[in-house]
Amino acid sequence: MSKKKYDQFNCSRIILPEHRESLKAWRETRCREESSSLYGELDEQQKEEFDYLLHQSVQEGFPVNIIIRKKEGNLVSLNGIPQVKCPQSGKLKLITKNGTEVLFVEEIIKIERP
Amino acid sequence: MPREKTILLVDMESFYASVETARNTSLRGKPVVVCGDPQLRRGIILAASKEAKAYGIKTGMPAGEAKNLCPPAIFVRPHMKLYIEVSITITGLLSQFTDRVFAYSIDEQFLDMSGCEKLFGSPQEMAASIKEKIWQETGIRARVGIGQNPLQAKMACDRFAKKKSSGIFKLSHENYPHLVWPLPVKDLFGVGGRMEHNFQRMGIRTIGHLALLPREKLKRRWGINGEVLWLNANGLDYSVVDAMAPEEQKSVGHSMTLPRDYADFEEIKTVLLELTEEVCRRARAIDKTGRVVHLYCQGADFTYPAGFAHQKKLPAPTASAIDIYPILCAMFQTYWNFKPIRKIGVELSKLENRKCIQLSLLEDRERKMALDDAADLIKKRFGSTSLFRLSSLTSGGQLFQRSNKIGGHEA
Repeated sequence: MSKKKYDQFNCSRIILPEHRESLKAWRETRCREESSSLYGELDEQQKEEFDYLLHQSVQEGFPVNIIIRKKEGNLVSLNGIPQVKCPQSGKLKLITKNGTEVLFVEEIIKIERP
Repeated sequence: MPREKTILLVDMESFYASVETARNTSLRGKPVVVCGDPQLRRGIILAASKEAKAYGIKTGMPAGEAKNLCPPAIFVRPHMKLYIEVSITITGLLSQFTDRVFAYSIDEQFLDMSGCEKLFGSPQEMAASIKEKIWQETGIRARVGIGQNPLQAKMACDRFAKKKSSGIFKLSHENYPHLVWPLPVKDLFGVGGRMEHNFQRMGIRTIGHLALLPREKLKRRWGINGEVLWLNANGLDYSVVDAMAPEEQKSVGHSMTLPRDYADFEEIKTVLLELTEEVCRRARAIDKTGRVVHLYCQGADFTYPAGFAHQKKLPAPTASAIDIYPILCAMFQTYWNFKPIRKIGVELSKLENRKCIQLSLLEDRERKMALDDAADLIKKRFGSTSLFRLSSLTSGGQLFQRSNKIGGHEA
C-alpha cells in the first residue's frame, strides 16, 4: 500500500521539531486530563474494593478486567488472571491470552469482574 | 450509501504577522513585515500583513527589496516560540469542535467535522463559528476551505477562500470539475515547478487537461506521484484526518541556510558535523536509529543552480554522529562540484527502534550509545552549547549562532 496515495498530507507535512514536541506534550496532557475526568482519583473505598477483588482473583484463579492509565495518558484495558509475588514491588503480573503483562499498581484505575 | 464527509482546512491569515499584530495592537491596520536578521541571509520576509502585501511584498523576498517596495513597512523580528504556542492554542480551540484535528503546518489545521451537523449546523456555519472563535480568543483571522476530503478542503482554501471576503469556500465532488478544472495546472496541490514544466511540455495547461488523461498513463510515467496528481486533479483523496497519527516520525532531518557562501571544504565539514550531531541527537530523543542517510546541498549561484541530493544505506542502523559523519564527508566529496554552497541538509530515514541493536564483535556499540546518552543528558540540562566540538569554534562553525533559535530564527 502506497503511503503517499493514502496519506498524502501526512507525507507532505511541514512541521518544526519544536512544534511536533509541543503538540505531543499537549496531546499527552489532554489525554491525561480526559482520563482523570472520566475516572477521577481513586478513593479509599474503591481501593479496598479493588484490593478485595484482586485477592479473590489471585486465590480462586478467575480472570478480571483491569483498566490502566499509562503515563502518556492513554487508557488500556486488559483481561487476565493476576499474580502478585511481592506486594511491595508495586507491580503485578497479569496472565492474558496473549502472554504475560507486567502492570504497575499505581497505573490501575479500575478492576472489575467481566 | 456511505455518509458524506465534511473536512475543513483552517488556514491562519499571514500567521506570524497576525500574531505580532495581536500581541501589539498598535500595529493593527499597518503594513507589518516579519523578517529575519537583514544583516544575514535569514533576512527574508517570513510573513507580511495584508496591508504590506498590498504594496507587492511577498513571502521569501529579501528585506531590502521589501523596504524599497513599501518604505512605511514596520519590520518585526520573528518570535518562533510564541508562534508555536499560539498554534497549539488554536489546536486546542479547534479540539472543542472535534477530536479529529490534524496540524498540517504551524498555520494550517485539518478538521474532520463529519457527523457534527446537529451540533454546529451546516459546514458553512461550522466554518463561521470556528473563524469567530479563533478571532475572539487569539485576535487572528482565519480562512476556511471545506471539502468532502482533505484535498478538496485544501484546494478550496488555497484557491478560493483566500479571494472571498467571507474567507470561506466549499468544494464538493459536484462543483470540483466546474471550478477547479479551468485553473492552471500549477495551481493543483502537489504540482511543483519541475512537474509544471513537464506538464507544459506535454501540452497540459490546466488541471482539467490533467484530469482527463488516462490514469494509467500518468502512473506509468511518474509512478505513484503521477497517480496521486491524477487523483488530485479529479478531486479524489483517500487521506483520513487522524489526530493521533501525526506524531509518528518517518525521518529526522536538519538543514541550514548558511550566513554566507561556503567554498572551503574544511568549513563545510564543520557545518556538516554540527548538522549530523543535531540530527542524531533528535533521532536519539525519540529513541530511534536510522538505516539510510540523506545529504543535500544547494549551490550559491542562482543563475546556474547547482547542488545535489543523494542518499546512502548505512552498514548498520545508528544514531551516532561518529558513525555517520565520515560517510557524509565521503558523499560530499564525491558529489560536490567545488562551487560555493548556500544551503546544506542532512536527514536520517528508515527509522528503527534504538532499543533493538545488533551487537557487533568489532566494536562496543553499547558503550558508544551510553556516551551519546550522557552527552544528550548534559545538553538537555545545561543547553546545547554546554558540550561541543572544538571545530565549532572555527570560522565555519554555526553552533553558537544557531543555539536558542527555532527553525533558524529567533525563538
